[in-house]
Amino acid sequence: MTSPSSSSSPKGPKAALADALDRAAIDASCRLPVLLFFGSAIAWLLVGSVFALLAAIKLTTPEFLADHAWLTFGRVRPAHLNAVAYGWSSTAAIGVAIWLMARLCRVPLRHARILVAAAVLWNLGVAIGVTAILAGASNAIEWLEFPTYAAFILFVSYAFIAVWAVLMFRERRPGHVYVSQWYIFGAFFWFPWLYSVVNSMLVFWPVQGSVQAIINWWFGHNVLGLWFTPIALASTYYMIPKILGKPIHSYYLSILGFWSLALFYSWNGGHHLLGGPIPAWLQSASIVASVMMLIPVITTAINFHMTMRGSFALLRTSPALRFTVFGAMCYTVVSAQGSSMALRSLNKLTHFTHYTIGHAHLGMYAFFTMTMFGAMYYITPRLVRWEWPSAFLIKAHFWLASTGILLMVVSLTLGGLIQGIELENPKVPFLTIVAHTIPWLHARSWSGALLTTGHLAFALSFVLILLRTGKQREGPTLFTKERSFP
Amino acid sequence: MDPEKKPSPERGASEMDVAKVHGALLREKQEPCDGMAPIPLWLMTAILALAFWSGGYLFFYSGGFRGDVFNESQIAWGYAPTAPGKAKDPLAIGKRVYVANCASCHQVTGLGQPGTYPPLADSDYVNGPSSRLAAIVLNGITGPIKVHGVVYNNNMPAWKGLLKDDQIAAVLTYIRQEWGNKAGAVAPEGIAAKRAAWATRSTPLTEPEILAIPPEELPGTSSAAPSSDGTPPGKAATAAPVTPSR
Repeated sequence: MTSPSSSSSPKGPKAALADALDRAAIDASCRLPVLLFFGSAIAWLLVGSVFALLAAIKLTTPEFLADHAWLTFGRVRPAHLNAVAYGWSSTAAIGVAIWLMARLCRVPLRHARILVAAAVLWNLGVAIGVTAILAGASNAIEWLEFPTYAAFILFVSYAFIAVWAVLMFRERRPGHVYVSQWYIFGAFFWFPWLYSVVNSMLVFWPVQGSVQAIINWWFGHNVLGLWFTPIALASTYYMIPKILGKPIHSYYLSILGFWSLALFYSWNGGHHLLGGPIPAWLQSASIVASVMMLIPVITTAINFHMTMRGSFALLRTSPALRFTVFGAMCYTVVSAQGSSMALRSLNKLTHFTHYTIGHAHLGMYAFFTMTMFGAMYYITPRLVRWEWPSAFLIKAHFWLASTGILLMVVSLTLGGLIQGIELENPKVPFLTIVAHTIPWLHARSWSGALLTTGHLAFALSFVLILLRTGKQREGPTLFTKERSFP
Repeated sequence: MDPEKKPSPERGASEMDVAKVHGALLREKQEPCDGMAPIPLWLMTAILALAFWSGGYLFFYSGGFRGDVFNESQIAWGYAPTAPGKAKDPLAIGKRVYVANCASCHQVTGLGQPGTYPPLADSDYVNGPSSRLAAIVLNGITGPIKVHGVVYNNNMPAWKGLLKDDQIAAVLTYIRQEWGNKAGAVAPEGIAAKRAAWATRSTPLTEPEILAIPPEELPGTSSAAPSSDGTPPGKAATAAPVTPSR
């Protein structure tokens, strides 16, 4: 089972062919629902990028489009957050998770109609929600701006997906349950729990006072940690060993990483309220849990790194691997940064500055989104049965996305630190501090332009592969012209 | 996308057109599986160190896991420094109860509304015997009542169903010592006694009924007028211990 050298299983060429036929049947069964989720995710990515650019430009040029109520900062900014969180990220995550589930259950996908209905409902919910935010009907709770009716549609759609996941898992071919499936299952149950609890406690029967803030951030942080993170880790746990043809380094590290994440993450939300009017013990407990997040992060990083060891040269050739490993490395960086930001001494400086925004994008883009790109580059050709038409577009996408996000994170981190240090100094007038952030915000707008251009290249690639343009390739579409791609 | 290209789900090459299997699938590696490398010793050590740090952090900065400690540097293990029981300032509670329940008629200034609601500032009913004042708040008033020579004809609701003994005691203490009033603090047990005495009364009192109540101070009521050094007499009430440092 550990032979890394060929495209066959050790059982011989005949068994290898049978395996390939199995995979072909699985992929064919996934085609419609997964491509639906991927396609709509990419559409929402473009929409979200436009809102992001508008919001970024408004920070340096406040009068830009300020005459249109629908396009004021207070609406465009939550429209961006929700379009990328629910439109792009969640939709892409569901698509990737569906395919991984089918592959890892080793049976063709059944009940595809449930998923198609879920995809339609999900997009309907996001579209209604984003429009409602622009129209001014946001309910003004961060990460939960969608009004009740849109949230309800999302919840129904989500229930379909969770039910499908259970049905699928019951019909799996017997055998070992791989670590990616633990994470997908975790995410599929954690998210409805979070979403229903927060809606009932903040929207339908609102709790009073500062407890609202506690619940809000419990949800806001757990969406990242118990929904997006597990799906991205599931994808990474699949892609790295799959593309390399090696086993994942250590089963024990997988177990440790999964359970420590499950144990510590849901305590993290309180670190958004340090210094706020909530009991000291709650703040300290969330700080401790945030620091303890180093355990799953280091564990997972070791697991990925040791699996990659000796194969880093492949990053030069394989697009899927390069995007995925970029994401995995950023997971380590962003999590370590997050643990440090939870400490009171650093939080005092970074809270309420652009530093936090940089951290958020390092997590949601450099880690999560890049991982999803990697997975899509791997999965889509198998569903369409056509190779990516243009290596140039993939290359352009990677370099625009990676330099764009690095520029954004570096400028917001430095700008935020300067802002935080000056805010601590009572001798600096507030407007001077604001003026000092402007160059960094310009850099952020430019980084947004780079990212958006990258997204356009990706969307174009996706349309071209769906249309099966170009001549049929014999081998995969790679960054370099090396023949010996494993 | 083309349904004809869809391979049959049955397992086995015989039913499949092998040529139709996509190249990406044929060159694909095995499905991922697990290696069995042990957890490195240094990682276990680091985890133990983190756990040790966490315990220490929670010990020093958890505020004793109390819901009312907001300053993490205040070590508040064990009992509160003010000994058993809840110690709160009756004037602060009284002010809160007053603002929430009474101020809409009697106003935060305690002056009432001319012609409609009587003033509490400098009122004989407020500064007079606490037995009558407690009866008014517990049962409410109906019909005309004369304050400072002005007749007010209105209704005041009964509060015995809405406020607890300590809340009524606190609000009475507050109105007896605010706006220049200088009467003694009222204790919760006095209100409890009055509440029991008036338990069967279900309609508001009238002015003659109030004046018929024997003018006496309730048990636990401090007789002290405010001392000359400006210390509010509420702090002297024996039955209502006071937090020293909040």
